[in-house]
Amino acid sequence: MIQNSGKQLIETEYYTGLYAKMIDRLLNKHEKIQFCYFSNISTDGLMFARKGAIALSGFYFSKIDSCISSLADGMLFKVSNTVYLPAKSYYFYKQGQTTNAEQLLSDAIVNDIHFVRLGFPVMGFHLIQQYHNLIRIYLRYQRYSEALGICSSIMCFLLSGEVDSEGLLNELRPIYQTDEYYFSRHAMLSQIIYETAICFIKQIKGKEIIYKMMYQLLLPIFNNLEYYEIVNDDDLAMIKWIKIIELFFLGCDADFQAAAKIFLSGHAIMNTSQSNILAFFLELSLT
Amino acid sequence: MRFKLSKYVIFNNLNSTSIDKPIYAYSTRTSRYIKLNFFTANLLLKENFLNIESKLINLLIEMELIVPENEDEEEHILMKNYFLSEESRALSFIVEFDNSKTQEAIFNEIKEVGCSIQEEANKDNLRTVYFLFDFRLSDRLIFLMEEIDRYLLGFNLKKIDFFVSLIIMPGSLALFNLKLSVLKLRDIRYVFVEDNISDMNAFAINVDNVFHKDINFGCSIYYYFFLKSHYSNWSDATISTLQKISGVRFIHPDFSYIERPNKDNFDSAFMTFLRNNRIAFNVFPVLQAKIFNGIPEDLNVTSQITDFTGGIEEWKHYLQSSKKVRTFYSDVTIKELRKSKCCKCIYLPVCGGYVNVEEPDCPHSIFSIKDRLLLFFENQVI
Repeated sequence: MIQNSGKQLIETEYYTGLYAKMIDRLLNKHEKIQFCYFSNISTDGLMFARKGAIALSGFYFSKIDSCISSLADGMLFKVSNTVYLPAKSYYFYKQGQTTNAEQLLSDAIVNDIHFVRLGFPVMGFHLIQQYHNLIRIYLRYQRYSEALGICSSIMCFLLSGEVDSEGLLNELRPIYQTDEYYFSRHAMLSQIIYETAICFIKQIKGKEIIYKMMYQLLLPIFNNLEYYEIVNDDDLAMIKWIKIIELFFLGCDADFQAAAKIFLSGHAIMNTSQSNILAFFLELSLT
Repeated sequence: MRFKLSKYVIFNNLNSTSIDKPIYAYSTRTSRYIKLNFFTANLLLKENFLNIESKLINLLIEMELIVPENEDEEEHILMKNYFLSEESRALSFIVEFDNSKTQEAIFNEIKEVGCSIQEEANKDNLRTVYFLFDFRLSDRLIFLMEEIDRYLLGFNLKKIDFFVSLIIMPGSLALFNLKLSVLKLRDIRYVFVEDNISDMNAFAINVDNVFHKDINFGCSIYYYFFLKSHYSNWSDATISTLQKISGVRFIHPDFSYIERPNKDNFDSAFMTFLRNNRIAFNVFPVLQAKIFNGIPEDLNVTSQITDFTGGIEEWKHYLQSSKKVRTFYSDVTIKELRKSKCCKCIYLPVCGGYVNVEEPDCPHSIFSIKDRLLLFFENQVI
C-alpha cells in the first residue's frame, strides 16, 4: 500500500512537471495567471461533484463557464480546456447527463490531439485518460460493447504500438516508445484492465456471460503480449499475472489453479485488484 | 482578465522594515497560510502579480489570496456557504441514543431508525448519518457495535458517510478494540469521545491503543477527549500523556466553547502553556465547510482537547453547531444576507455566519483568531 502511494506520488510529480513545462512554453505570464485560476476553479468544481455536492459544484462551474467562453479560440482557451472539459464532463456524469458528459470528453480528446501534434507526448497520456473516462461512463450504463471497443484499441496501442489508422488513436503514434510511453504505459494498462475487470465482476451475473466478457476484454492482451517489452518489476508481475489467467482461458484448469494459488499467496498484499480478479477466476474454475 | 489581492487575508509583520523577517499571509477563505519573503509580500500587496514566480502564483490562487478583480468576494462567500448549507441540510441525519434505555429498547430503536434511514437512502438524497451513542459500559458497547454492524450492512456505504460517535469511559477502548478490528464495515468513521477524564492511567491506555499500537481498525478514527480541569491544574501525568499524543498528531485545542471574562487573553495563555510543555497544537480555525459536515475530514486520527468543564454536552453541541450556521442561511435571500453584520466580517469564510439568528453575538473563538495566528507565526519565526 505504501509502495503504491509512493509510486503514485512519483508519477504525479512526473506528469505535473511535464505539464508545467508545456504551460511554460505555450503561455505568457499574464495567461498563466488566468490559467491557474481556471484550473483551480475547475478542480474545486470537480472535487465537490465527487463528493456529491452538485449545486456547489455547479456554482463553481458557472463561475468559470462565462470566463472560458469569452476567451477567443487561442492557446489559453485550449490549455484551459485540458482541465476544464474533463472536470465539467464529470459534473454532468455525476448527474446522469451522459450525452453532455460524452460530448465534453470527445471535445477534450480533440483538444488533447492538438497538443500531441505540437510535440507534447504527455498530452497523449492525458488523451488516453479521457478515453478511460469514456470507458467508465459506458461501463456504468452497461454499454459493454462500446467500452470493450475502446479498451481493446488502447490496450493494443500500449502493448504493441499498433493503432487503427482511421481512428483518433492514430494520433498517438508519435508517443510510442518515447520516455513518457515507458514511464506511463504500465500504470495506464493496469488501470484499464483492473478497473474494467472488477466492474464486470461486480455488475455481471451468470458464469457464461462473465466468461465471455472477460475473454473479450483480455483477448487483445493475449494476442499482443509478445510485443510488450519488459523493463521493470511491475511489468514482470503484470505479465506473470496475465499468463496465469491465460491458462484459465486455455482450459488448463489444474495448471491455472496451481499457479493462481502460488501467485495469491505471494502477491496478495502487493496489488489488491490483481488478487481479487485472480481469486474470482480461481473460484470460477473450481465451480 | 485581471486579478486583485483578496480582502480576506491576515498578514503579520507588515510594518516590519527588516528584509530578513518572513511575512506570513493567512487566507480566511481557505484557512491556509503561506510564508513569504519581504519582496514577494510587497509584490503581493502592490498587486504586482506578473513579477511573482509562476509556481508561487499558482499556490496563491489556490489559497484564494489572489482572486479575479471583478469578483464580488462577499457574494462569493455567501453563495458558497449557502450552497454548502443547503447540501448538508438535506443530507444529514442524526441518531441519538442514551444510556438509560434497556438493551431491548435500544435494539428496537435501532431497527426503527434504520427504517427511516433506509427510506431516506432510497430517495437517493441521504449522504451523512451520525450515530451519537452515549454508553459508558464496555459490554454494552460491544453489543452496540454488533447491532450497528448487522444493520448497516444493508446500505450502500459508498454513497453514505456514517459517523459512529461513541462516548466511552477511560480505559474502555482497550476492551473492545479487538472487536472493532474484525468488523466488516470499512467506510465508517468512528469518533471516540472520552468524557470525565479523571483517571489519567486509564486514559493513557486508550491513547496507547489508538496512537501507538499497530491496530488495524479498518476505518477512520477521530479521537476527542475532554479534560475537566483548567490547564493550570494539569498534573505531570496529564502533560506527559498529552505530549505522547502530540508526538504522533497535532492536538486541536477546542476554543469554540470557551467563555472567559478575559477572553481576549485566554487563548494566547493556553497556547503558550501548550507550547512551553511541548504539546503540539493546531491553531487554524476549522473552515465553514467542515462546520457543515460536523467533523473534520482531513486526518485519519485526530484529537481535540479542551479544559472547559462542559464535557460531553459540548460534544453534542459541536455536532449540532452546523445546524446553527445553517439557520443563518435558511429562508433568507443573498440580498438580505448582505445586510447582515457577518457579511462585512473578514472571518465569515471560516466562521460560516451566526449573527442575527440565535446568537446575540459572535462566538468567542472568532475574536481570538487573529491573536492565535499572530502568536503561531511569531513562534514559527523563532
